[in-house]
Amino acid sequence: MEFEDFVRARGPALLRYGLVLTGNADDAADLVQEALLKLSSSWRRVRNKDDPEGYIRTIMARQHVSWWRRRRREQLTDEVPSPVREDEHDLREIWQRLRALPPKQRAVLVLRYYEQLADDEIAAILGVSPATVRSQASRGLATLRIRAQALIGRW
Amino acid sequence: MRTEEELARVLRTIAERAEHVDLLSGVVAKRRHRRRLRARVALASACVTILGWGAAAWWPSPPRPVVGTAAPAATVDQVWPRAVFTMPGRYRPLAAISATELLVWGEQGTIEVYDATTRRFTVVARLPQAPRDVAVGSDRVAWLAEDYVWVAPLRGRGAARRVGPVKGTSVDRVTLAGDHVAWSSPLDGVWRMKVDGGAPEKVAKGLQLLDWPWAIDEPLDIRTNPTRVVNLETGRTFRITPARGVEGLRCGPTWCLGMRDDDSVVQRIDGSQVRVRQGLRGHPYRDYPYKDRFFSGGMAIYDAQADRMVPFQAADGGWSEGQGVIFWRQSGQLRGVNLAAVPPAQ
Repeated sequence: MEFEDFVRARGPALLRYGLVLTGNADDAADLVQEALLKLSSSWRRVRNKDDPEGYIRTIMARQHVSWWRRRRREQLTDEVPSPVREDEHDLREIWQRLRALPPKQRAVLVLRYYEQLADDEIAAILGVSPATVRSQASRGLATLRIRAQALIGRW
Repeated sequence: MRTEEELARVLRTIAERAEHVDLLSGVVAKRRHRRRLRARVALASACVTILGWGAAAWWPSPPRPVVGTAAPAATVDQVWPRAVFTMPGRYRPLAAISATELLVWGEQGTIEVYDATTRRFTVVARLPQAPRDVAVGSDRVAWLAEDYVWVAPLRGRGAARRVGPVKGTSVDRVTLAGDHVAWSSPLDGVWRMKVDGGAPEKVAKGLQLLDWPWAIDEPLDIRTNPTRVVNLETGRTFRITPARGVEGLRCGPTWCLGMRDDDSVVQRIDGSQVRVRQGLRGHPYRDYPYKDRFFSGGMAIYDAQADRMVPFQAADGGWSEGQGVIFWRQSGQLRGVNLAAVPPAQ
């Protein structure tokens, strides 16, 4: 498969992943393109030996966390159209809370609940220990006021 | 409280709304930009400039909706008739100011004061989105936006002023304390700053703000009970004693709400006056009772002082709440209860 074919085939899925990782459409497109740029430079190696999609999703998760540590936001997020309508109260509430989480917590929650990955897989992607994944997930869920079945098992 | 399944569903729903982007063109443009940048950096290498990139957090501005479940028989109109109000449907209450005034969000992008006696609205400030974290005092309102606090006078003329920036990660509670504004984050404790500016001062570590001067060591794990409520002005600490088997207590200075098996349990912080009151649950953002007295849930308001459950009837079962105000849509209007108008318990 050529790089261009990969982008056409998997681009929409990567944008979906980017949107839940970053919280807005502009940052999502930026993140996906940045990761594709990296992928393109190692495409020949990756396409033959590895799983390109897994590879780029790992790049995106790591890039997302590191960007937010040092990148100055050059535009107000309010200027970017929200994927949630004003009248979708419940959805909007949890989405806004999710967006306000520290980047690593959000990345852990996205990898766990959107990508459906196990904690040791998340740990490998983010380059942290499984214990850190669990603590980040626990903090994120608590901030979102989400009942963590794994933690409490009852309510 | 939500479940992990709901979180997964929210993520899938949002992801499906990702817009199409011409990624290949974007990648090509980025590649060209990098090449140009590299060339420029090479030219400028003799003259090194260090850019300080500041990290910027932001605070989104959602409403605070909740959806009720069962519909009890009686209504609030008979019990607290003077607390019930009706206003045009294009407004959404944010907080109770006094027995007759509410702070509201107008769909044109305004924060306004609604006077229930004269039924008149007065614009306080204009902003692009409804503020999420609002604090109301007797004469001013403060809200968080981006990483700053905005303060505006409630009455009379005067523009909103920006003070800050606020310190802390994921700041989610703000309150007015005399000539100070105080805030807290689940990870960084309590801070305060003068409303007319100045440097933020850390007031307490490991505590979450209730209404000033009260704070609590509310844990992040929703199952765990807090252990103490602290008066930040006097330093006096009050120990929280959970009733047997009660988990996830969330407390004001006097009253707590927790869970025991599937029951909602109200108790005083010293573990006395334990009452099972089904259907109550914590507010999605501020889990402590309004005015250290009122809880809500199951389409009812519970007055802990009077030990009285007062049901209300939202037409379609959906209702929302702000600070001290509960409201629902009814025939194109907005109907609700201003808890600041409820008289003291007998």
